[in-house]
Amino acid sequence: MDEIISQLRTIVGNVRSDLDVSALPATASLEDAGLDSLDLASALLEAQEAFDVTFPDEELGNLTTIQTIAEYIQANRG
Amino acid sequence: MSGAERVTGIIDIGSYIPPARIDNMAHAERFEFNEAFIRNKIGFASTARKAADEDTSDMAVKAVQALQAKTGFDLTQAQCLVVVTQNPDGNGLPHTSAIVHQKLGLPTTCFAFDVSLGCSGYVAGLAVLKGFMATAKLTHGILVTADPYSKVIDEDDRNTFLIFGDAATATLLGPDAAWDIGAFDMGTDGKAWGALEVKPNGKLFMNGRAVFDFCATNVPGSVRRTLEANGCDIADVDHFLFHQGSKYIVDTIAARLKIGPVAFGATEYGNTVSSSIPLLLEPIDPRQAHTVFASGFGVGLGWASTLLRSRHHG
Repeated sequence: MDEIISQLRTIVGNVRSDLDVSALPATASLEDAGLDSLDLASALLEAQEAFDVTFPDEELGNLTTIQTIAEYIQANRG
Repeated sequence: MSGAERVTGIIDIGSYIPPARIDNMAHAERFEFNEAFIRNKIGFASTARKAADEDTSDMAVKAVQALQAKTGFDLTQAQCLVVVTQNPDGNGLPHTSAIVHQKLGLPTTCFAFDVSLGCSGYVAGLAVLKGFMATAKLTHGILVTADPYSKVIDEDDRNTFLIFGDAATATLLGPDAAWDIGAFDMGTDGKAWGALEVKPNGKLFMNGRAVFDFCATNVPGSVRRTLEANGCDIADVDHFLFHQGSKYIVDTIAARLKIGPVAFGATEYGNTVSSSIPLLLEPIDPRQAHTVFASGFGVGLGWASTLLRSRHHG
């Protein structure tokens, strides 16, 4: 799980290079951290490609923090 | 290259953008967007709107008249007319191109038909018309794009209202052209058709994330395949013309291709669907530019890409 969270931090940092995500708690809201809806769409797409998972639309309401995204990946990756 | 292959290229483009605008900033608050997001991510400060009494065929006629004014083309020489639209006059029967044919007074020897495609429609239309003209041995054809989404836009939908604008273009194809039309790369993911559709209530629905994923995932590969099919490298391209879906998707595709910033010219009139690429191509001088890449993507979901080479450079 720690490795997934680390990779997700890198992905989020690449999407928004102007934000310092290194100190962002995994449970913090990505929206509150400064990501808008398009940033989040980019981060989720990068994560889908990196971990070979698909985030269904009905899960989007839960995928709002690095922690919840990591948990979904952990449970559903191929 | 054989003589037959050189016959059909792009001679010139005319366009019509309705003068009325929706000021997107005036709608920022009710949709809970900040102005920076609209300007820098969505990318459209305003969107063009046709007049209430203006129909799809009227916009098409104005684009053809603009083409005629630029080129002096004698419309009695037109042998085929294609209108790319999914928002036709009336209920789509008869085809809008027949109505445009009547309004322009085209000769009965000019065959008219519609192509039902959205954002990929211009590039796909080039392939359709070029192939049709070769098969039917025609010398001059007109490709019109006119797809006014204001007919189906939901004025309370934050996912679409600030994006789509109305416009029409007319492209003259024939010999003595400015641009050669190269090899194509096209594709469709029919499983995702529901991501962009007009619902039974007559209003447009868009699953923005699904469309974004489709474009960001598929278009870079199409760019590479198209360049390879045309024996061209990324560095050889003078202008990348990507469908102006939003500034963010254009920037994302450019970033994934590592080609640096590319043109985003639709800030003042919006995403005009199949008209977006010809509106970008129209002002490019073929005496200055050698190679132009064009890719349309969206409704279907599908994409169509090609490479245009200026004939001014041999």
